[in-house]
Amino acid sequence: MSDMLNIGSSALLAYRTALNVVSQNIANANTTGYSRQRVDLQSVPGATSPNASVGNGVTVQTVQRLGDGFLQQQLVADDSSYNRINTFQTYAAQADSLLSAAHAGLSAPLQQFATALNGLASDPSSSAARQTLLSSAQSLSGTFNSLQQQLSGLEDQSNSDLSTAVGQINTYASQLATLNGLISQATAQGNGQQPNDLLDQRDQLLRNLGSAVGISTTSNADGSVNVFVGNGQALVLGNTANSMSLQPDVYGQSQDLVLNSGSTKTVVTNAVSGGNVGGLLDVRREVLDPAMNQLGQLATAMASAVNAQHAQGMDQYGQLGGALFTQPLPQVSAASSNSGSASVAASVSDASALGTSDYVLKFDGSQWSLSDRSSGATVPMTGAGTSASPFKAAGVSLVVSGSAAAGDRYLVQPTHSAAAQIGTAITDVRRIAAASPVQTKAVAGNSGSGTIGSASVLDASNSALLSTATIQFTSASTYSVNGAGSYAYVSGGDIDVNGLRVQISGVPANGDSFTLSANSGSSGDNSNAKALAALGNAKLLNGGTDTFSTANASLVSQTGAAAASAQSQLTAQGAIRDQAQTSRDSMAGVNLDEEAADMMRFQQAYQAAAQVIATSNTLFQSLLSAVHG
Amino acid sequence: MMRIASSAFYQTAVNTIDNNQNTLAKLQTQMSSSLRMQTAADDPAAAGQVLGIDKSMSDVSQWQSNATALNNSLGLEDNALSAVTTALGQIQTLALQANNATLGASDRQAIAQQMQQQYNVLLQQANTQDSNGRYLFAGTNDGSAPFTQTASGVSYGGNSNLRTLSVGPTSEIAAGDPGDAVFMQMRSGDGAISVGAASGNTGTASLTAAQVTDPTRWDSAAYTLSFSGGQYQVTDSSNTVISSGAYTAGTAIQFRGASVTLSGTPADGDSFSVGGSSTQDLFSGVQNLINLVKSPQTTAAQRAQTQTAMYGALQSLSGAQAQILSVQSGVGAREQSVTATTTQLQARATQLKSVLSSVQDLDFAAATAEFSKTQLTLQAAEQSYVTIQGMSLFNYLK
Repeated sequence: MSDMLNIGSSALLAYRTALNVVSQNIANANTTGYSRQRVDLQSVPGATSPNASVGNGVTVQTVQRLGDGFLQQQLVADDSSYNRINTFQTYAAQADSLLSAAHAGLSAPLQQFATALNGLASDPSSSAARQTLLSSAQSLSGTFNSLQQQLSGLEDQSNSDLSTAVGQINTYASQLATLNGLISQATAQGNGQQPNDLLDQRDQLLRNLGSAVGISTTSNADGSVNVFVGNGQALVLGNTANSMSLQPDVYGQSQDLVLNSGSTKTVVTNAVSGGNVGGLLDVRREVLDPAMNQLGQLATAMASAVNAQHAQGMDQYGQLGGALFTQPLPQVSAASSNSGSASVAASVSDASALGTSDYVLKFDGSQWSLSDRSSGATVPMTGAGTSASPFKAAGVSLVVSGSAAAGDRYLVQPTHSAAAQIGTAITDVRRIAAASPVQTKAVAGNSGSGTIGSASVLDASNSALLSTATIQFTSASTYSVNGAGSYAYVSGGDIDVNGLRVQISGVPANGDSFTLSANSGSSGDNSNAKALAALGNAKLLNGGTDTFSTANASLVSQTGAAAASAQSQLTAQGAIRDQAQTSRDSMAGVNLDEEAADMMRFQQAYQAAAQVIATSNTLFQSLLSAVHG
Repeated sequence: MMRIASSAFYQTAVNTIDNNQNTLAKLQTQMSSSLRMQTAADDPAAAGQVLGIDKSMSDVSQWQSNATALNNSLGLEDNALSAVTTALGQIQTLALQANNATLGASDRQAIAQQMQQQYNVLLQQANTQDSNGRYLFAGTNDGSAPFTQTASGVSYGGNSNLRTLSVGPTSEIAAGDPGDAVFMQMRSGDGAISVGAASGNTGTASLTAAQVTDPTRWDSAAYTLSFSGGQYQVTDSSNTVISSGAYTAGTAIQFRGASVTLSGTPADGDSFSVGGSSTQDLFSGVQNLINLVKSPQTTAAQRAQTQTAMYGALQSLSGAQAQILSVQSGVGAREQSVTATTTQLQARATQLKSVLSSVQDLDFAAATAEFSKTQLTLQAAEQSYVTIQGMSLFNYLK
């Protein structure tokens, strides 16, 4: 009977434990990262007797945690990818809508500017047309400024997100190191029993960490894990955690991600991938920086072309046109590690040759060399770097002064901040140079039928540009210029004088003369306005392949394509992550129906075991009453 | 068979509902804006295309507004030139009317006065302003009146430049004609030859015809036709006789490709100068005619001199009329070309609009169908969620 009592009470204990485990499962059905647990029961063997061997009840062998290391790792990796693309998509979509949503972006102001130039061409002396042009120029440069400001606002936002993510990573890393300590301690003391709930917490921390940045892990014999980022830089080793931080890069232009191991600092900006951090770094590299460079390229090319043409016209004060837009300049930043005293000045030498890359100018002790910042490819330069013969490459000219030390580096950003620099340089509508600086006239009394066309400007800097010039025919087939020389006359042929080009056609007679003289401020000439308007259809960018409008279209569609691809990757990555979650849950998640069934099963077994004890008691009572009689 | 964790079950249901709601929201935005794309991310290639089409459309509308501006200014020029032609016609009629031996001096003075009025009309038309107060016939120097009357005649203060406007990628049309080409470069006489009587002529010989019969031989040099004893002789500038013969009234005298016919009888020593025509302005031509009408015609000799001068002046006037007509027909041709271009631009604009619509507009039928389908899916997802979430074994443990 005592055997029966022992067996019954061992069963009671075992099923109490089983019911506890079921309760724990039910209680944690909605706990993130919880892995369901299962009681493994084992019968207790009895003492062997000659006739039969009856066991000695039941015992709980272990409480097993139903997790799958592989599925869990898969989930961490998928989480990491999902979070990367999720962050990337959030930023790319914002950049996209900045540039392409209705009433946003450059296309409307670009068109208004073109329309205003055309309006000026059709009525060059109207001050209303001039005011319209000035307003549309201001709106165009203002749009450049605000787009640049919004894009760099996104970059600032990404830096602040980066700093938040770095803070999270450091918290998770130190929590993980603490957990690693607890786990190895529990494993050592647990007599083979796993610290199930600590392991769940650790897995959840690894997921959080993976969401923040791409990680790889290795397991140790004591149950702890080591975590690495980037190219195998250790973030957590057993119960010690390193930390990450942000610091300005060597050129002081953007934030570098640094892993601090003791006093050793390793820059891992280009090594890490995945997670929020990877997404932030990638979107900066692949979307925001290129968009700013492209925008700046457009602003620089626009200012160069419009200013050059505007300088060839005459304003209403009778003066040659000044700059219509303020000309953006390339930016040069010296590396903080430079030991020499050289400084580098940059300017735009050929806006049509400008690209969208940033460059690094480097001195090796005897030679200067230029390379593309992102690809590292060498870019050939011409010139000697002096102001008489500047280095020229990719549309930029560079002048080096002072003495550089070997290893000194300079970051050259031809267009990165150009869209912030562009502005409208004039405020007085009469300063708009719509007219040709020169008028032509057949002298009254010419007896031939020769007619003179409008003059075009070849060289606006010619000092004699506005001086009066006379072309006089010394015979029906020859002419002199300002009384000198004798040139053969060809009807419609180019006649170049004082930096101007003019054509005479028809049959002039001997003695006929034609004059070129400075236009007056009140001129109704529209040739320069037309020339300015014609810039809108001229291929002035990317080596003569793009107009302002197609360059803007390519900026819009490139950013749009990045956002579109991020969106579709996000959908795909979301499905993959959900699939991994489902797989993990199908193994480790709690199913309440299953637990209900288990609960009934164990409750019944518990009741049965209680019945065994009751029966054993009845048997004992029967025996007692038989003895007492 | 796969286990389903209870939490996964809820999560899946919520995800499905989320997705459907996203799709519905997107469709709703598309339908309410009637645009297929909200940002470039919705279709990057098409977004680039849309910008290109927008640019073309704005070019076309610029050309259209240029065409309108051209129509206005060319119409204005056309009207001014018509008024000039009318005035020249009046002047011609009046001059012919005055060229009648029966009229007295006072009648001719009255006619001259009327002609003077028409002259003023001419000057006024030459200084026509457009609606912005800019002078039409001043070239591009159109801020001030180009034609000013001075003691020595009319001077031109404009220039020879033209304002042109684009009405297509490569076509430019001039918005006017510079005043010097219209009014200042007239040819005297018939444009090739002019004949003048010497002021001391005392005979009654007057010019009835002068023309160039052989342009290849006519060199526009200065010749003198002089008479003596019923004979004529023609000398060149170095006084060499190049032609001579007996003079017969009404018979053409021919030399060097030119033919000059006189009527009446020249006195001995009378002479006529024959030369190439020169360039003069319209106003001095008309003023010359007016002066002739005013000139005294009391003697036969005066009358003969006036006749000779009148012949040349009337020829000049016809030349001027032809010149104005030719400018005007040039204007007409440009107006026609503007009209033709306007029609083409209209067609181009319509075509671009339809291309733009096919690229960016929403296919409403497809979107509506998609909307209903998604709506149905969402309802099913919600309904099945409610049904399944009510099912639990615990419901039976009572």
